Parts: sequence; structure tokens; C-alpha cells
Amino acid sequence: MSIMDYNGSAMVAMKGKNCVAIAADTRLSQQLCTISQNMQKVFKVNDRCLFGLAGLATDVATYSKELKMKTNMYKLTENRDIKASTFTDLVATSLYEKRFGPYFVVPVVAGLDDKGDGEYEPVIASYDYIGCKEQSYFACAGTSQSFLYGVCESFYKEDMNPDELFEAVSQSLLAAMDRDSLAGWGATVYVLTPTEIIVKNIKTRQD
Amino acid sequence: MDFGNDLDFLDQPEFGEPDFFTKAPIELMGPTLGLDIHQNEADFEEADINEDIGEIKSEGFCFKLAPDECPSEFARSLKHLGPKLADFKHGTTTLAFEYQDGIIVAVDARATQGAFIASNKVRKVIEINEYLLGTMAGGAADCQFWERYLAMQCRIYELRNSEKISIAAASKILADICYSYRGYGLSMGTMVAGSDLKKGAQLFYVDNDATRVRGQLFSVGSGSPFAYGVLDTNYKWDLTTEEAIALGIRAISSATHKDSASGGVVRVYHVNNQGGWTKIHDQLDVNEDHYKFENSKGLRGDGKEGFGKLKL
Amino acid sequence: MSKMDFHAKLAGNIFKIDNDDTEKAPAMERGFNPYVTNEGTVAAVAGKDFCKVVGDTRCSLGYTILSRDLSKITKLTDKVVVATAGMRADAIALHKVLLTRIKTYKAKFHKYPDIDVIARMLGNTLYGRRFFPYYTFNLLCGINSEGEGAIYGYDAVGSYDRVNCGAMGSGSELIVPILDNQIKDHNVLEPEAPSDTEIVENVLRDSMHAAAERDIYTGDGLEMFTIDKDGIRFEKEPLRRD
Repeated sequence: MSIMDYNGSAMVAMKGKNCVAIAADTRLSQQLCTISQNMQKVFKVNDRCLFGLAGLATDVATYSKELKMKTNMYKLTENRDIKASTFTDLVATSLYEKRFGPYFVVPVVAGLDDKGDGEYEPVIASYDYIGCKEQSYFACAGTSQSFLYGVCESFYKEDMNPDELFEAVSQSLLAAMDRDSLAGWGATVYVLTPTEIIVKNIKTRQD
Repeated sequence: MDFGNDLDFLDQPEFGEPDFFTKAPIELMGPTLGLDIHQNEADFEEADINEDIGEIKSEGFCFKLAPDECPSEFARSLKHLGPKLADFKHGTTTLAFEYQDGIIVAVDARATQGAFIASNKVRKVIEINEYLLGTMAGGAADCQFWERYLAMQCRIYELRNSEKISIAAASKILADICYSYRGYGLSMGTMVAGSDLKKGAQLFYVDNDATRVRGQLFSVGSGSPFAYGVLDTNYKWDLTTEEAIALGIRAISSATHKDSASGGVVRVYHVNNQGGWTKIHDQLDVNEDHYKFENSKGLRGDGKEGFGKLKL
Repeated sequence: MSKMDFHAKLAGNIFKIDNDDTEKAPAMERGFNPYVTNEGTVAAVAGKDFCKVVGDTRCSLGYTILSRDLSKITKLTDKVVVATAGMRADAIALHKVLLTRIKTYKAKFHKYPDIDVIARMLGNTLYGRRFFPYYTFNLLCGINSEGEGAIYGYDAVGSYDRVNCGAMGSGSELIVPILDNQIKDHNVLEPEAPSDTEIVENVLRDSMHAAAERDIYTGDGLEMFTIDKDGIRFEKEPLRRD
């Protein structure tokens, strides 16, 4: 068993029209044994950007704090919130900093870039654990990655509104988690719109 | 109606009539089963293992062996030779216990290949015949095949001796098979539960090392530590059947909750002391049972009681 | 080798038996490994009175494509087909064995075996190679004697079960959750089993395209078999070829 599968996780992010969504399971486990059903895997950068970390739980905790520190420093020096697209680069460089002693995490970033006139550009980025960035319509990470890719290919369509996006993301996540023995035990979906962050807990299977 | 080995019987006018087959010799019906091997009980355990020719002939079956220096090592190391080749489904929770009114057998229904859940609806109780049940843990094919074969042997015993086989003897047949294939990588952890009129319900544990133990309470599989926890706390001999069924379900549900390689549905069987068994629950969703149980304790069931405090 | 020698050798080996999965793989030390994987994907859905099977036609070895047009699905009788992912050589050998045994059955009983009979036969054929398995993952699909669609899914050594939909091969991990959601209606509040052949066909086609998109061993061509009371129909269409 690889170190990336030691604590299971399922994470998916998807683009919509003027909105993005990111969802993750809430299970903390040590291989086959469940330890907690309340693990936080998605973190807030600011009102326009969220990121999730899949992978080794101890590194998730450390690396999320490191990113928090870096974004706070950015805010103090620049006196403004970091843009989502800038944040995706920050994640890539800070992962590569640890090229030869990496954190075993796979980040997924979901954010909105302001284009003016009330229009927003959705930003989705996923990485490998040493910081190779890839931007796409949707991003999948964690032990359920391959299941998620299958369902996302099938369920994704262009220009979804927040409600459709919520449905697509949660159905993708549920379908994938039900086939992955290492992820599950509750899930949280975050839909980011220009005006609000909608957070919903989904009732899932508990086996 | 002596056909010999030629196919002349095909030309006979009555060929194909239902009546024809009831009179046909049994080796004609199923030559590959080779029912004629056991002329007497003595050759029963003789497995003719001929590694030079590359086959094992035993019990009327012929298993082909790999053309390798050591075929048994080849068979044992299958799981390393190809991905998913013999990725045996170790993840499981099965339990059975004797109590005053028989035996309760309860199992989960998940099959995993690595982390992938291959199925959530597997049948892990094998209905061997109308008075014998076998459970399945380890290699699904091994359990299914040999317990099917055990059913055949039990029927043959009945025909030869005009009485039903005892549970002890039936479980010994299975243990003998495991013994004759020792070292070839069979993988089974099974509980044989059955009932005969002489001794009532009896429970045996048989595994691939040919261990065979009679006992009162067993649990097998990756979820068994969790199931034992619930069982040992609540088990007593004087349980009523309703209480015993509820205990079986409770133990499996708890195990499926903590153990990720177990899950799906619970199936429950009751073996009575009068020489038979009944199916109590064909499929009871462990998820619904979990929420029902947690709600009855005043909990939400998803473990998110303190979630409001969590900050983004 | 005499029988005595063999048993002595066996006794020596028994102490080395280790069922622990975490044991380090001796794959490098072993000289003889006849298994390669040619992968590819097959999937099937059974409806009320029909059964649909799809498979891709790519045959690959590592990163090399050996063939772009090699069928994974073989017709066994007028009501039953077998779809096999895994090692091509074993699959071809297995299909030949199945066809031979069905022909023998026909000669003996003057009728073709029903799908449940073939299912048991395939299970026993696979288990007959328990110690030297066929490296194949099978879906046996067709309609049974009552005219219902039936699918039997197998592991490599012959454990089998009847299912109402399934996928095998390298793309199965991508396809199975889609079928769970669309066919089995998991996590849907008002489940409604699809009876329309067109819906089933679209789900299967869509999931194969999803697999071809993300799995390098799946692609090139898509074969679709439809089995119903009128017999077996066959269609072919392209999948992505990169």
C-alpha cells in the first residue's frame, strides 16, 4: 500500500458558469480502520478561493497551515486578497520547494477570478505531489481518483448554474465513494458563487 | 442400454426423450464430474499429485499445474504474478454462534479488490443443502467451488447409506480437501453450520490450513475484531431467537461501520435444532440499520455532532 | 520426482506459507511468469427482456498497441455471448474450450445449454485451472430460459454471481460508478429501473467513451451486442484512437 493511500480520501472540483464547486469526503482512516468522520479536507483561502488537500492526513494538516501562512503574508505585504489564479501558482511553487522531501498531498484548487462587469472566470487546478499544475474543467484527487474521473467525464457539462453544479458534483462524489472502500463516511460540498459560499453536508453510507 | 465409449447412442430412436436420460449411466450425463472415482471410502483422501505431468487428480477432478520447477510455489505466488489475478477478497465479516435454540449465521456482503469495492451484494452464505450452511471468507472461488462439491458428497453419502451425513463428518470432508491441497495456496476461512436430528445444531470452523474446530461462537474476516467486541459483550446461551438475530445484525453492522473492507447488506440465517435452516433476512441494508441504531441512542448517525464548530 | 520426494518438498514449503498481503512480492525472483496483460474494457447491462454488451477492440502490451481491431466478445449460442477482458491468449483459448464444450452438450442433449448452465460450466472451467489460472475476467451475458436479461460476472478463478450490470477490465473502475448511478440508481431518491433499450445503450456508449478518454488501454473501436428474443444484433462504431 502506497503512502498516498494510507489515509483514504475522495476529492472533486468542477467548473460552472460564474461558479465553482469543490467537494470532499470527511473520513479519517488508518488503512482499513475508520478513526474519525469529521476530518476537514477543504480549506478557505478567501471569499473567492478554496482549496482541498487529499493524501496523507498528517501532511494535509501541516501543508494547509503552511499555505495559510503564505496567503496571510501575501495579504500583509500586498494589502489585498490573493487572486485564485495567483494562488494556483503559489501552490505549485510551494510544493516544488519540497521537491526532494515532498509532502504527500495532492491539492485541488477551486476559485473565481473577477473579470469585471459581474462576470467571473472559474479556476480549477489540480497537481501531483511535487507541484505539476494542470488546469481543467474538473479535477479529481485521492484514493477515489480513477472512479471520479469516470463519473466526471460522464456527468460534466458546460455552463452549469450553482444548483446543477451542486447536483453534478455530489452525484459524482457519491457514486465514486460508494466504490472506494477507503473513502466515505460523510461528505461536504462547497459551491463558490460571486456572492456566497454554499456549504452542504451530504448524508452518505456509513459502511 | 450399455453405451460403452462410442457415440452410437446418438442414433438410437429414443435419444433425446426425457425418459432416455433418467436411465442413462451417470458418467454419460457428466463425465467431467467423474462420480465413479470413489468406489470405496479408502481412496477418498488419496490425491494423486503428479507434478511431472503437471496435474493434480483428486476427488474426480483434474487440476492443471503450471509447467514450472515448483508448481506449488507457482500456485502460491499467483497474486504477485499478475495484478488482480488472485487478489483474494480477504475483506469480510462473517459470524456464527450457537445458542439454546440453534445457530445464528450473519454475514456482510462486500467484496473488495484492493481498495475497489467489486460488489456490495455478494452471497457469503452458501446454502450447501437443506440442513447445512457454509460461510465464505478468503478466496470466493475456493469457498464456492468446494462447498458446492461438499453438497455433492453429502448427497452421495445419503444415497449410499440411506441416512443424512452428520455435521461433523461433512465438515471433515471439507477439512480433508483443505489438507490434501495444503501448500497450493487455497484460501478459505469458513464456518460450517448445520443441524442433524441426533445432535441438533452444530458449528464448525474450517480453514485452508485444514484447521477444524467445533465451537460456540466464531467470527471470521477483517471485521471480526469489531464483531467479537459486540458479540462477547451481549452473548449468552439463553438468548431468544429474536434477541439472537438482533445481536447478529448489530455485530455485523458495527463491524461494517469501522472496517472499510466490510459493508453492503447483512444476511441472516437461523439453523434450528430440528434438522433444517431458515433464511431470516435476505438483505438488510447496514447503512439504514446504522442510522436507526444511532438515532435510537439520540445521535445523528453521521458523527457530525460537533461539526458546527468547524471553521472553513 | 517420486511421490515421497514431492511430499518432503511440500512439507518444506508449508512453513513458508504466508497469507499476509503485506509480504514483499517475490515477483522479481520468479523465473516463470506466463502472464501479460492486454487489458481493454467490457461492460454489460441486463434489462427486463434484453441484454446489451459493449467492448472496445484495442489490444495492447505495455505502451504498445498490438491491434486496433480485436474483438473481446464471442458468440456462444443464439442467446449467450461471453465478453472477456485480461490476457488475450488465455481469452482465445478459453473461448475455444467453451465453444467445444457447448458443441459437446448439443451433441449429447440435442439442444443448446441455457445461460445458467453455461454459467456453471464456465465457473468450473475456470476453477479447473485454479493452480495455473486463465488470466481472464469474464462477463457472461444473454437471456435466460424465462426470456429475462441475465449477466454473470466472474473473477479469474471462477467465483461467479448473477448481476444486473457490470464492467471488467482496465476501464472498469471508471465505468462501474457510472452504471451504479445511472442503472442501479444509487443515491437517487426515487429509483426507477431503466427498461428502455435506448437509455441503456446511451449509458453504455457514454461510459465507454468516458473510459476511452481516461484509460490508455481502452479505445479504437466499440462493439455493441444486443441480445433479445429476436436473437443477437451486432453494431460497431469508432472510439478515440489515441
